[in-house]
Amino acid sequence: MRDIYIISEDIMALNALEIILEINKLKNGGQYSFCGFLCDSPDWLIRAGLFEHYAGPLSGRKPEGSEVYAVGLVDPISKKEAVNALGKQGAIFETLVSPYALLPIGYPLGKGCVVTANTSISDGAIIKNYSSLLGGMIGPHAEVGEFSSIFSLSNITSAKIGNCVTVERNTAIMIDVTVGDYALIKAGSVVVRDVKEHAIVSGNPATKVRK
Amino acid sequence: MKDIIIVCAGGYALEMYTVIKDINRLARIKGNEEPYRLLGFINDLPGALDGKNLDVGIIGTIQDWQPSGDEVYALGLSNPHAKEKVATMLKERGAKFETIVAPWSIVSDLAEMGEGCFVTAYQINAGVRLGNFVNVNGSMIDVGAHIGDFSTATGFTNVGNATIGKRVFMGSHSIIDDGVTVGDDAIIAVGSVVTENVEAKTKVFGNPAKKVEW
Repeated sequence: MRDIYIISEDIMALNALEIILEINKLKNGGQYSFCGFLCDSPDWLIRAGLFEHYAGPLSGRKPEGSEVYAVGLVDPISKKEAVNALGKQGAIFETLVSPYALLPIGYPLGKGCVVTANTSISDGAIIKNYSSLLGGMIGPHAEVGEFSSIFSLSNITSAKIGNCVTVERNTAIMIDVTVGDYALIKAGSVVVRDVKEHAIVSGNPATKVRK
Repeated sequence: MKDIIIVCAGGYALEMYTVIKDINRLARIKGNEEPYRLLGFINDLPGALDGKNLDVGIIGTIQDWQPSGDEVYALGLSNPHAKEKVATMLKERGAKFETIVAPWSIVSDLAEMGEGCFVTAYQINAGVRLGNFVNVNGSMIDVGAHIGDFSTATGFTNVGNATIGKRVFMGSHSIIDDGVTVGDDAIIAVGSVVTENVEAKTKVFGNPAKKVEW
C-alpha cells in the first residue's frame, strides 16, 4: 500500500483518480491509498462536490517518506511547472496505467505518465516522462515527448510529437509528421505536414490559426 | 430477476434487445442469476419485427399499454423529441424505466446516470453527469461532461468537459470541445467540431461548426 497524491488543476485530474480506483479494484484490497488532490485553487473540487478530497496547496509542498505523486494536470506548461517544482523537493512520480488500456504487459513508459482506459500503445512506441495519454491510439513508430498530452480518439501512427505538445480529441496525425515543441493541435484536425514549434493548427488539412 | 419490456421496435430497440441478451448471457457465464426476463416489445406498428426471428414479439401498443407495476421498461428510441413524448406518456401511467449499460462499455464508478439511459459502448469517464433518458452509443464522454435529459450521442461522438442541454442530438463523429455549452433542442450535424457555444434550437455543421438554416 502506497500513499498517493494527485496534483491537479481542474476536473481532468479525475482521470488519474479513476485509474487508481480501477487498479485497487483489481488487486483485492488495493495497491494505493488515495490521500487527496493537491491544488492551489480548490474551486474545481467544490464545483465537482469533491472538496472532502482536498489535500492542501501544491506550492510549498514538502514530500515525505514513501508517498508518491500522480500527475493529474493536462496543460503541458502547468504540468512542467508543477513537476519541476515538486521534483526539486525530491517527489517520486508514479506512472498510472489503467487496466483497460491496451499495451504490452510491462511496457516501458516514462515516469509520471497517465494512461487512461481505451488508450492503445503499440510495441515500439516511445513514451517519454510525464506524458498524459487520455484515450488515444499510439502506433509502433510514434514518439511522444515530455509533458505532452494526447486526448481521446486521437490517432498517432508513426509521428514524432515534441515536448509540451497538446493533441486535442479526435485528431489524426499522418505518418512521418514531426510536431514541434509547445505546439497545439486543435480538436478534429488532420495533420499532414510538419508543425512548427509554438504553432496552433486546426482543420482538415490542418493549417495554422491565429490565436 | 426483473421483468423487462422494450418500448418501440426500431433499430435502437433491436440494439437494446441484443444488450439485454448479453447482460443475461454474461450473468449465466459467471454462474449468477439472469438479471432480466424479457417479456417483449411494445410498439404501435404491429408488424415491425416480422422476419426478424427474435425470441419475443410485440405484445401490445404504446397507445393502449397499461403498466401493471412490477415490470420495468427500457426505451429503445434515439430521436430526442420522440423519446420525451413516449417516456412522459408511459411515466404518467406509472411505468418505471431502467437504465441499461452494455457490459462491454467502460463506465466510471464516479459517473452519475439518471433513469432510462441507454449506454451501448465505448467510454464514460469520471465526473460525468447524464440526465434521464440519455442515449450514449459508442461515444466517448470525457471527464466533467454534463448531458441533459433526452439527449442522444451517436457513434464516435467525443464530448469533452462540456455542458449539453436537453433534447440535443449529436451526430456521428461530432466533437464537442472542452468548456462549450450547447443549448436545449440543438442539433450537432455529422462530423462537426463544436468549438463555440451553440444556441438553443439551432443546427450546426462543419469544422469549426457554424449555424445552418433548416
